[in-house]
Amino acid sequence: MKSRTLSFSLMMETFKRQIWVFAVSCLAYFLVFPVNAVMSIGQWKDIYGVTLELMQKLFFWSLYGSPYGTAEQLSTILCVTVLLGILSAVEGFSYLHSKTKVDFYHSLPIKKEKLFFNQLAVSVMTYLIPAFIGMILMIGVGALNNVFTLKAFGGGLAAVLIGLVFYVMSFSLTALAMLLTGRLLVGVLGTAVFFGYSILLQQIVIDYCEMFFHNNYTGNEYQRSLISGMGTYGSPFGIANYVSQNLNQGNGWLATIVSAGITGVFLVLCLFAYRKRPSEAAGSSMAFSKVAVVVKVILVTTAALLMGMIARNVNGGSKDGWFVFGLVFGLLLFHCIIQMIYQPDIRQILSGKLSFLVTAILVVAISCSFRFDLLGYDRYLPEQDEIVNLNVVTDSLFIDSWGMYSEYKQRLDKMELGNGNEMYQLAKHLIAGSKKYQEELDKMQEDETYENELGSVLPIYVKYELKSGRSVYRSYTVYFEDIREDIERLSDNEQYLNDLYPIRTIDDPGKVEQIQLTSLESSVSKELYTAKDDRRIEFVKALQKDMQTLNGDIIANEIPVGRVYYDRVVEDNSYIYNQSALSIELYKMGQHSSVTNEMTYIYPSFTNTLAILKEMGFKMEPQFDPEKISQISVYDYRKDSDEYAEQESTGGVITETKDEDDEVEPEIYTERSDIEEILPSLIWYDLASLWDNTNGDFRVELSMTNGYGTEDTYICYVRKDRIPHILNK
Amino acid sequence: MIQIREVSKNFGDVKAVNNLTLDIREGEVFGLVGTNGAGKSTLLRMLSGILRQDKGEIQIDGQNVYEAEDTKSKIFYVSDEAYFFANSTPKEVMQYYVHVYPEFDTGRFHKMMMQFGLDEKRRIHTYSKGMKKQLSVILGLSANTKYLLCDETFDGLDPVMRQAVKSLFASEICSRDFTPVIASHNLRELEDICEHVGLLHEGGILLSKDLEEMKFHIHKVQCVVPDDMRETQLLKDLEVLQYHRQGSLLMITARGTRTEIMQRVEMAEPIFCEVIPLSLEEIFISETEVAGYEVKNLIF
Repeated sequence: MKSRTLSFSLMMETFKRQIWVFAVSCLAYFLVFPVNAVMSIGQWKDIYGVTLELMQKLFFWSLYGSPYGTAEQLSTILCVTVLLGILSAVEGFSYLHSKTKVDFYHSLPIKKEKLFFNQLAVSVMTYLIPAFIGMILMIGVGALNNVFTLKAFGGGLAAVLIGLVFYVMSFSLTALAMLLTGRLLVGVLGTAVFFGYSILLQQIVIDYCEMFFHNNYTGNEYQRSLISGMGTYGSPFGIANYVSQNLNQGNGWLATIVSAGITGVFLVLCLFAYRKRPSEAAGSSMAFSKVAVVVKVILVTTAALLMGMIARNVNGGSKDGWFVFGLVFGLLLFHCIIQMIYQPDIRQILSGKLSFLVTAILVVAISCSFRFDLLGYDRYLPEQDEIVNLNVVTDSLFIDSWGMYSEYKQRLDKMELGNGNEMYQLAKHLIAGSKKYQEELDKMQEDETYENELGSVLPIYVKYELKSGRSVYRSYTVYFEDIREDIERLSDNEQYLNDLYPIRTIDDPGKVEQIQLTSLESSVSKELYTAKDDRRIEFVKALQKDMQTLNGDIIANEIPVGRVYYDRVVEDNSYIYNQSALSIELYKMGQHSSVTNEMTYIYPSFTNTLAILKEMGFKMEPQFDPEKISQISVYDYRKDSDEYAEQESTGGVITETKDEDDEVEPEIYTERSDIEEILPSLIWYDLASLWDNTNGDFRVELSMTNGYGTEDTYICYVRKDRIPHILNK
Repeated sequence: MIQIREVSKNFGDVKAVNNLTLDIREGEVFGLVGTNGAGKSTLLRMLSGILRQDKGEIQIDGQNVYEAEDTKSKIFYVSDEAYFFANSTPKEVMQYYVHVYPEFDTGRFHKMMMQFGLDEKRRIHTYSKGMKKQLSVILGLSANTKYLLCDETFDGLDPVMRQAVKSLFASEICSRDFTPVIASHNLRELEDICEHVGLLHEGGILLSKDLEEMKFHIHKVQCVVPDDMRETQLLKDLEVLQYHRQGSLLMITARGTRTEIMQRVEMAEPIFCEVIPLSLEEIFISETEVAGYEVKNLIF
């Protein structure tokens, strides 16, 4: 009883000492709960089609998350909570960095664990009371605006408890930083390391992969990858962000429970460190010498790798040379900086030789493993029987209609191409082709005059979906000729074409909306049908019928005459504008659609489609109308190469970088006969692909009069097999 | 009783306390003297449970002190640089101590604050250094702990206040079970209050003795003897610690009671003779020189 009385009275005394943190907490939760609610409710009323029910849901969601939450948006409430946890721990444990204060507190007849739990209890009180009152006030605001429900009260309570998890997590992590250090500034730096190190490390790993792994695929979408996990789950901010995004959609509870477990581990670590922490550590940089060495090794290694990366990316010339310079410079610089932080004595700046050696070995090992791909990232190819699906996407050969604005990963995830020999051989050829391409690239970098005749290069994205449930993504850059046969086989693969062009297999043509056309008649897309125009059904059926005839021969040999863009309504909600709770709810209410923007070529053999288009007045000619062409400007880069060769042979010095547009004067053709000779050889840029075998020596700008009294300019290529004589003169 | 057995404490490469063994008896004022860096503060911080010794054993009334609430509740540590809560008043600090020390005597606190002329409602940060020291001592005495560990407490106190504090200590010792341990580098400060003194040097204890016993058994003699032969004989007869000559005046510091020394001096038939009691400072200089230490480097 005496002990309990002492604990409570001690807690109240400690609380009085930290009353300013409580005041900050009250202000913060007053702003993020009731004030924010007043402002939000005003905004919700402006949402198109909003109902009272939706507003009640929004009110419920906004209690513990972000109703607008997108991938980039951190809930204000949880963000404030994490920051307050940091503030409270810094205030509560900063005494450990003052000898006078340590002498005072540790001379008192109170056990260290009691002091720790006393501080924890005060900090929890500093969160709970203002958060709970703020939540009640917010519910009051909700009731006044008629959006309060009993469910919202439960949500509010849950929100306060979820916040408590992240508050204590943030508190304990900060406390750990304060306990491991002996000076306030170092403690604050330590806190910054705990909260930000994983994000920095994630960025370094991503950048190293991009720098050194030729087949690396990060794209824009790496949220669920192991690397991004470092950033997401390595910091309380990241976890809080994840939870706030997912709670409103019914997920996030598991993450919260796991977070509570991690918080418990942090608290145990704190208590252990607190008991073991020597009082004389006050004033020293680090409280535990062994931990100090480990921290130094980790930080210097990371900093050296970062410096190596910066030096390599910032400077031209020998990339490897700058990389090594950056590593060595970073290693020395940060070793000295941390040594100075640990022992503020210039004479000690180079001490700690053993840790320096260990750090140097680590830096060499890590940088070499990336630079020389010691772990075989670029060579990665799982056993065939381990693969469930080996999916492939490339834009340069097939303009796949499947969400042309969506990311490759999303498109790869929609495919199911199996693990057949055809696909496995393609993967093998891609790995070998990528290696060959890199070797050629190295030769070109070493010798600026080096040229090869290997033709066009294209990127190909691959997903290895494994039986273990893991998915591995790679991006290969290869010469087209090296994989032409594989691609030709692939373009006859029905499954592949079905995955690539969903319009081939959709049951309901009505799902296709907002159809637009681009052709040689106009560079501006023209609307064919609106979503409400039922005549589109007939067009879609025709297009679908033609698409079903699509095969490798058509793709490889026919030159498209136009492109059709359309919106396709998808059954699930994966294509709504964002994945926020509000968007999903509006989708359920029919206010939002899950729509993918798709596109397909119109090939000359698409007779059904072309017939309808011609009925509608579109000529859909395979070449531009000579009547409308006022002039053709041809940039012939062979000429530039000749001049270059001439200058080289005569010892001429080229001081400027070769720039095609600057150095090549176009040949301009305005005569009707010339225009008529050139036109059949031209392929409009928007309709060109690698299959067409365009000639890279020419770039053509075509000026065509439109119906508005002005001229449109079309960029075109010249067909490799059909170079007009006039251009060879 | 405080028992310190073979205790060592290192701070990195620095040996702050080195294999120290010492007993501090109950009910006496123990003076802990030594130069700056001798290890006095470290020893007191170990005694108060702030620091854990690397080696050895510290027991207070037979119990370990580090992380032992019951043992620590018998101790009040007055630091040389006392900490008070930011912007607090003595009354607020007192309220905190009331929660921590169950025997804290608030009445006594108020009384002493009044006696010392300190305003309980005034912010402590407006106090002078001496006033803060007084407040620390008042809090320490009001806590009613058995042991009061004072680190350089008398520094910054004016002579009047110093006497007042000494009187309070004396009064406490008479009225209850109270053992103050006072660390200082200033021997004069401790001379008229300490009953037992321990001299620390480089982390070790040079000596630990009752002050009266030391004063009783060591004296300084100033005399003039008629010839060299008698002088030589006198120096042989006395247990000489120090010996100086100024002209014909001999100044001898020797062990022994006043009577013993006078008997031997009179045998040398001195022309002039005077026995002077030594100050604590002089005793320590003599003792430490005997112990082989260069006194000038030790004290002052």
